[in-house]
Amino acid sequence: MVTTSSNSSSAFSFDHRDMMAFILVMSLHGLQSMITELLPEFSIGGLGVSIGPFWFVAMSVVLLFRSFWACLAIPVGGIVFGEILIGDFSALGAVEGLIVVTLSWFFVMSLITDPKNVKQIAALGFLAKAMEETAAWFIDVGKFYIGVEELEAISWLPETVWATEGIGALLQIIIAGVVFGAIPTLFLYPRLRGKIEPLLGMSPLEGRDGPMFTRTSLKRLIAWVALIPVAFAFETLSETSGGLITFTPEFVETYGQAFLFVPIAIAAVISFGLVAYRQRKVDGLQD
Amino acid sequence: MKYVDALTDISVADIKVDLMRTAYDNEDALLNSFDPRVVLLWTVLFMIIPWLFYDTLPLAILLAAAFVLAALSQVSKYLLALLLFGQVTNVGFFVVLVPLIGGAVQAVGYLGDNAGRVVAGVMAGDASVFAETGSIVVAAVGRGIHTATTSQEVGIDAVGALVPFFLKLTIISVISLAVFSAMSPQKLSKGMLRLGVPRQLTFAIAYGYRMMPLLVEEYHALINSFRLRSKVPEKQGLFRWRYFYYLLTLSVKAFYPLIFNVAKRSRVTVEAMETKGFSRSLGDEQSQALRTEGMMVRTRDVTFVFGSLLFVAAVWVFT
Repeated sequence: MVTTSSNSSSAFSFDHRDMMAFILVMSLHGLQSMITELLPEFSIGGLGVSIGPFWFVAMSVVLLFRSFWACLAIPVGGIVFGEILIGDFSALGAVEGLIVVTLSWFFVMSLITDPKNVKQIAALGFLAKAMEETAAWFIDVGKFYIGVEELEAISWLPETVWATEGIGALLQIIIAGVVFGAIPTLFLYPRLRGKIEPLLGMSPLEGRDGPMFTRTSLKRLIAWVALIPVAFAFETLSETSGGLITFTPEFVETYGQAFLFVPIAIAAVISFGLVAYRQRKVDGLQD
Repeated sequence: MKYVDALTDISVADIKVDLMRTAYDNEDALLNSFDPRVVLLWTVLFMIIPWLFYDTLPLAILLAAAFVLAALSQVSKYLLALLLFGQVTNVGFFVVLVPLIGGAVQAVGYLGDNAGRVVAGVMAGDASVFAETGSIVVAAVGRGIHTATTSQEVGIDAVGALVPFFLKLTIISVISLAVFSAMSPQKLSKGMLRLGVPRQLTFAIAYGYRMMPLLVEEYHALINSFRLRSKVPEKQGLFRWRYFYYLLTLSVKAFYPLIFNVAKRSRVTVEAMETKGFSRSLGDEQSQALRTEGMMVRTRDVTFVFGSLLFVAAVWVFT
């Protein structure tokens, strides 16, 4: 299979053009996630209905390119602008987004046969969003199984969690995937294609012959399926890290709880001494 | 500006000022005066520590401490309110929605169990089947309502069980809010670089910090220019929906010119970076050393970490 994008090497190579695409997608998607993050959301009994997120921005820009880096820029933008800048950053939880979002879009990218066909692009953008939300749905339900131990105690609670999270995911697919996703993309994408690439010093993507689903697509789909458990592991770690560790060292039982101070104090004295010694050495050198 | 005022009276300008303060005004924040590596490590530690507690009281004390830290770090009040609101709605979810959907699931299950009988009746051409169908539906609805109402208690019980869980999540959110509001971007990316995060990523963070005000400003200006050149709908409609719809279409349209502006800007950025040898310096040890020199763990960093650990141990022992 021959790719006819601006660089004829593999999708993973990184040159200055990829860097441009990366910065472009990151800034745009980051800005929209920051804005829509700050808009208040109307929540109906825990189901959040918020304005946006404006997924059409990523949809109409990412599919203009054919590189892994453009896909990676979507979650990175969301994390940098929508989390770190705002200060609402969950270090391990961000990994879930990185894996799921990047791989969903990277898979969908391989299905493009005709970049001029706006309907195809909008449909594929919707597909990527749907894949993302479906993966997130499974991960969220799995979290309940691990985080809330009494889940099995109430007979109908598991089904309810499945249903509730499912409705939430479906709402997201409709709102973010169609209303703020595919529909604006239909208008925006044709107005961008062929205008943006020259600004970045590239030529627009060409179509390709053959079926939509090629061996490349298959490989990427397998990667998507294989890495969801990994994403789940990170997400669970971030949400319930210590729920998995039951922490009662033996010495607490033997010597009573106040003994807990001893290891902390010893560690404190040792590291304090070491750092003070190094600091004096360095300051001594400067004098 | 009090917290209550922050909730009742929010304008775009306020939010913008708040954001800028969160991102840039951190010269005298407590957490910014420590070594970034130590702060990052400390954050990871305190994302785990809340999970070791299971009772409400120590968790509440830890939350109070987290709030003190947030106050010292000049956390944006608007963001804090947003975060707390999100946690409260999470609890609401359990009280309201879970019983409702539980009831629906039960009813559907009951219908499914009895559908077989109805189908058999229809096959046999039995007239009484319709009456039976009615009774089955009624029973199903009854069961659904019963589940929904009785499980209100279950829902409240679940909330009781979940209060510590949500407290833990809130503590972690407040702490990360404090840390990432207080740390200046340069320090943050230097610290990450030193801890082995690839430079492309730390660059993204620094770039985000640098570009955010420009992008927000530009987007706001675009929306204002669209508003100047368009007409507000004559009829407001029910709940002013027409007006909100108009604002929404504006905010979508304003992205079109923004995309081009950002494209030009990203090209200029990359060219400027390449001129300074960004790609060549990526794998270079010397450049790494040059970027992160002058970082050193000092005694006050150690005092900070172990002081907070001792505080946690005290909470653990005395509650």
